[in-house]
Amino acid sequence: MRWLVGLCVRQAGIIATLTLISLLLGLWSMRTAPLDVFPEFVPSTVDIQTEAPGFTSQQVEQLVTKPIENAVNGATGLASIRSESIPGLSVITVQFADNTDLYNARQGISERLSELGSALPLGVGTPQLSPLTSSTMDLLKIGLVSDKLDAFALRDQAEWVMKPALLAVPGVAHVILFGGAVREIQVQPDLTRMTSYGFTLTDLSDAARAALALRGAGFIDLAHQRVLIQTPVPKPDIAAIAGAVLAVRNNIPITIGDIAKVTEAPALRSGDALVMGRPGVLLSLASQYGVNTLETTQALEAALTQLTPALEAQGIKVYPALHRPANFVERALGSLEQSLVIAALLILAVLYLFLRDLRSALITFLAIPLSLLAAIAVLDRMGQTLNTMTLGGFAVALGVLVDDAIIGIENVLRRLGENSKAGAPRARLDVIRDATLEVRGPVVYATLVVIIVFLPQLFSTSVQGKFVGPLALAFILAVLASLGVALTAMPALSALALKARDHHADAGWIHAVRRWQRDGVDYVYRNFRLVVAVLVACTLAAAAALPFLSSSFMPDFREGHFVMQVSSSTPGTSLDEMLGVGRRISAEVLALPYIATVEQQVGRAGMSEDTWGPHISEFHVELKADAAVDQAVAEDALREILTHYPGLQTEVVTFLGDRISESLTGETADIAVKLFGDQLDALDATAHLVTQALSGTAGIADLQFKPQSGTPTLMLQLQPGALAASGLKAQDVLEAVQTDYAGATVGQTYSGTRAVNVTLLLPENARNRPEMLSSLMIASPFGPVPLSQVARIVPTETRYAIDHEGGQRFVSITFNVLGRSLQATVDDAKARVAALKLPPGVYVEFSGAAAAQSAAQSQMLLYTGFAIVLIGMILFICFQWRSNTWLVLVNLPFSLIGSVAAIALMGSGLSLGAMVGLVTVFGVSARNAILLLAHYEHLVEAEGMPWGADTILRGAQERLVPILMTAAVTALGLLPLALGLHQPGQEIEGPMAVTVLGGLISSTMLNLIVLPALAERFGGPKKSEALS
Amino acid sequence: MRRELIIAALTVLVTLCGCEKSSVPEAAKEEAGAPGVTLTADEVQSLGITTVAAKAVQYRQQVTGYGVVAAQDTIAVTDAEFLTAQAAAMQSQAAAARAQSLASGEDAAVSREVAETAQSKAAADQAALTLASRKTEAAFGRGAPWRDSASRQAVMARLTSGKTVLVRVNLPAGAIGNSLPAALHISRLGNDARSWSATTIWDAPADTTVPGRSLYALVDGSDLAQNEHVTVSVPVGAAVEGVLVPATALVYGESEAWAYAQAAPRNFVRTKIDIARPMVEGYFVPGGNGIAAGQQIVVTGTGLLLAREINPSTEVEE
Repeated sequence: MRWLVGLCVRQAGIIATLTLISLLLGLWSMRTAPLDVFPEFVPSTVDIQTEAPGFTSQQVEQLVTKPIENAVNGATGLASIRSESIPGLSVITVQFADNTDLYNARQGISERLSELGSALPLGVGTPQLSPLTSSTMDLLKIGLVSDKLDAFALRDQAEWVMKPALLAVPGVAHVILFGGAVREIQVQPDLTRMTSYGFTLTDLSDAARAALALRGAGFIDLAHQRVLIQTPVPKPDIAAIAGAVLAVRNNIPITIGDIAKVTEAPALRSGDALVMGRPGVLLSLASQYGVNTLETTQALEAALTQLTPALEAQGIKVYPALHRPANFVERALGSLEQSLVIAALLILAVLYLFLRDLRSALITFLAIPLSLLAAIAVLDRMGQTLNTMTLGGFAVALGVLVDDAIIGIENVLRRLGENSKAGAPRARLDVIRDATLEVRGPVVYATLVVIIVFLPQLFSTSVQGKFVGPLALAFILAVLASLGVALTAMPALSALALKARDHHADAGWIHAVRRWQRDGVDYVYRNFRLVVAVLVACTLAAAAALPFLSSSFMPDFREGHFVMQVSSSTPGTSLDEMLGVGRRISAEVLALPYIATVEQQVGRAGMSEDTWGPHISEFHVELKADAAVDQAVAEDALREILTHYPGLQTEVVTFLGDRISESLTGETADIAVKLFGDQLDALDATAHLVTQALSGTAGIADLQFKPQSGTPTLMLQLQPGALAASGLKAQDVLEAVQTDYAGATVGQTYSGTRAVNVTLLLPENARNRPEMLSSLMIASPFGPVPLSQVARIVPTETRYAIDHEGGQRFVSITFNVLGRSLQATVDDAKARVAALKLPPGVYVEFSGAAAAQSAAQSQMLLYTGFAIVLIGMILFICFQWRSNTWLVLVNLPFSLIGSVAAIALMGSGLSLGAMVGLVTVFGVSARNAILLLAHYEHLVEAEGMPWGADTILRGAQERLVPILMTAAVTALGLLPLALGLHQPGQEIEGPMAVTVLGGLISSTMLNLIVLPALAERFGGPKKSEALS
Repeated sequence: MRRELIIAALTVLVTLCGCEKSSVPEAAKEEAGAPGVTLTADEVQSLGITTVAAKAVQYRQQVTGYGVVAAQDTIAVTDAEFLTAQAAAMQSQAAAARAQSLASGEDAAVSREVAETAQSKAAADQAALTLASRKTEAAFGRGAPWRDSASRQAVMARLTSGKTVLVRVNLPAGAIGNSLPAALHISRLGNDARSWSATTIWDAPADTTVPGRSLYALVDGSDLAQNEHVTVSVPVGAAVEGVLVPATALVYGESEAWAYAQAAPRNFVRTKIDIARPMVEGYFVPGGNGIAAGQQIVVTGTGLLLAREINPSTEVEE
């Protein structure tokens, strides 16, 4: 270290140049570093979606989900499997363990799926793996409505014009379309005519397939040329398809049109959308894993700007930002940026105030951007984004950064001043080198201790940890960089710029503070027992108050955007019914003066992440950018609107809150009570019991059990005897029903680059009358037979969805927690559920924020235990006097007092930010204590002062300025964040700043006044240590 | 004095309680006693509930089947064969009788051999006639509507002239029991779907290749073409009085089909619907089954109304 500092001092010019280069490189890294609002907090997952047209949820579970689950189980890097089987679709969500190579793991899953081969029944589609998307997933929602274009044309524009252009933007994972009408050419058989003439659906299907045949041709090789032969491509020509020959009888061709109507019709819908309460098309764009949300959004908007004039010319109204998460990124980072700029100016002012020299203040100040930019460059190389959490880590590190620089510069100035007054002054550079080294030892240990304090956060594997981990990483990198800067750039710049005359006598106000400190230490000496008793009482009171502070796992983010989950309370409600109610809800929402846009998506779109039936919908509500309304008020207003709608189950959440909850529980609510068991009916019955038991629990809001049973179903029971008598095979009947009601794609037609499916399907008027099913004519070898003759049609109820977790069936009851501590509410709920008598084979599991919080706390407790042991070991190495180690550790809990008081005073609650704040306070307090106690050792061991009250007071007074400067700089750095407690994007940093500010006050007082008294009583060298 | 004060205080308290009670929403009060779902006016509007009046209708169950108009040449050939055999039989019978009389007595004009030959021919022609008759029976069934040659001739004349067509009808097995229907409605395939009634109906010989019961029907005054395929419907059972519930009112829940009828201004009661009684515009509900003619039937918002009734946890908390 001596060699390094010496080199930097001797080669100050070169080091200064290198410093400048590092500064510029850091600035470049900052400009190009990806920006996002949060780190990737959702565990890495992929969805496996398998279409099983016409299958009920139970059939999908048995025939599709289970084989795929078995195939995928045990894949490399797999952490857990969740699945949902709904009519016609199986969705399996595979969650990977942390630090898994996602691309390799995804490839592994893909290989296992390809080996699945024939294990899936005929008619079931190929399992599709979803692309890797980012945590927040949503990138942009764009809405299209038109008075001029019909639903087909609107959808065409979205599908064939917009989607390709938007998908081409780098960073876009997928574009999902809701609404409009998917153009399809339908061959709608006239069953009466068909059966009357003895044709079957297979005849019709074969004829249509033949009519739409597409074959390539070869070429002719001439002597000097190769001439290609081109075959025709099927065109979306209805007349041509209708005129295609079905059969020839008595030398007369019978065409498809003779027994079927060929027409352009909308494809069967599984989802739809309303944009601003009007039928429209919704484009939902998701970002790829790890891309820069802001940049990708801006690139998308540029692409959209190019498309918009052409769309508007056709009479399409484009709503470009129905949901734009980048707004929150901009607002959050904007307010954070503003806070940091204000903090920087305040810090510079404080430094000048203390050092009373502009050059010293500037050199000290320069340590901050140098360390931060170096940390940003490393973060960037590590693939981390710059987000509110990493920036929060930098904000927390400010105090340490300045402290590192201050200690060095202040000591250099002091030694230069002393040297100038000495009879035989030493060389200036030697003084600077020695002054730098003199304070470095304790600083290195103190820095190590602060780093260890943050290690539990860095290694936490919970979702909480995924948020705080990058904050801890940013902090640790910044602190390490600061240590490097303090050992290299600071001495070099000191050598270049500082002279003995730069050391100024302390300002008058510092003398005054010193007097107060002396009086304070004196008072504590005299009233030691009383002071300690008061401190212990306050600490105990603070610790006791902790459980009573309102706690929530994650804060409510002020995104200016809400998600309203609106679903029918029983499955089976139609798309049109949900759209009808959606129109009325949209109108009410839009009538609120602060609402900018609203859209509703009902059901699901192909390959979308949601597996919703037609009875489930989601509204995205965007507040006006300049809306002055409080978010909580807006949320209440939305809830109030929804209370007018009976028959619906509703929930209002913020988008990020929704994503976090979904990542924790698979549900959108804070807490999910999951009931596991084999018997679905028993699970449902128990769920009703649990819902009743939880109803009325204080703090519980949006209590919901979404029953999956009750989906109206017409069950076909084939009669083997009747089938045999009619000469029919079960397959004949099932295929006829499937083709008529689920449709069968028989080919495609092409117009330019647009493809239009040709489907065999019953006309709507025949398909939508349930009694027609029984009279559906099935072609048998003996002639047409009505379905009712070979099968019983029984109206019944089936489940809409069957959920699995870890391969086990479960149902869930969900709720949010409002106005009460999360843990207390969940404890109450657990007690109520425990009082119930559950049927055999059914067991309950609480998951969600409370469970995550509890798990995170347990993990944190373990890691903190290790950290304390590690800190103890470092302290033992750091100090020659053993008692100092204990003094540092005993001193720590006292610093809690100010933090808890601040949390209680500001009402910010014991949130994630507050927890980080507490950790920070422990770190800063430990650091100050280490430096003070190390200084005592230096005074006694190096300067030969006797251990006693005078030495203790001198040491405390010499440490006053650095401690005060560190506290002031940290406080001022965090003050804008604390003042912006209610700003968007500062939901985590705001409470953190409040906690740190409160803790700083108490810990600074403790270090300056109480710790010296404690050191006097319990510290100092033992005889053996003094001798050594 | 103290006692009066207590009474006064209690009176005020009771009055206040009464006031609070009266603030309970009207819908909640009604719901306490009324069956079905009672909503507030606001909720009715929120769900977008609209109604139409149930129409009084008469319903007769119908069985549907398929038919083909018989080709004239088949009828003509069968008829000609029969007539030919009949003429031959009559002629040979007369010849045999004549030969028999000429061959009898001592001054027989023809030999016995000639008479025997004539007898033999008459027997053969009679057998041919019987065969032709059986063939006709096989073609047109035993219950054909002619008792004698004249009536048969008249029918055949109508058929061959095209004024009447013969339709071979096939109905699902067991659909009409053992008796013959009094009338059949024959409809042409396609969108224009013209139809005619037939009252001359008899059993056709069963077709081994087609399951179900086959009938013949004579259809007068139609422009149905030979070999034309038609659909057939047969009213069965007696006509029943009831109401028509629109198809848009139908909703499935708890393994049954239902429609909501308005019992009071904001009270809606579920009534079972039997979809086995379909009509063109909806479903027939017999009288006395919960829905009266003119009663308002919910045709929009039914899905959520059912959700509200089946899962009352969604009831707005007061």
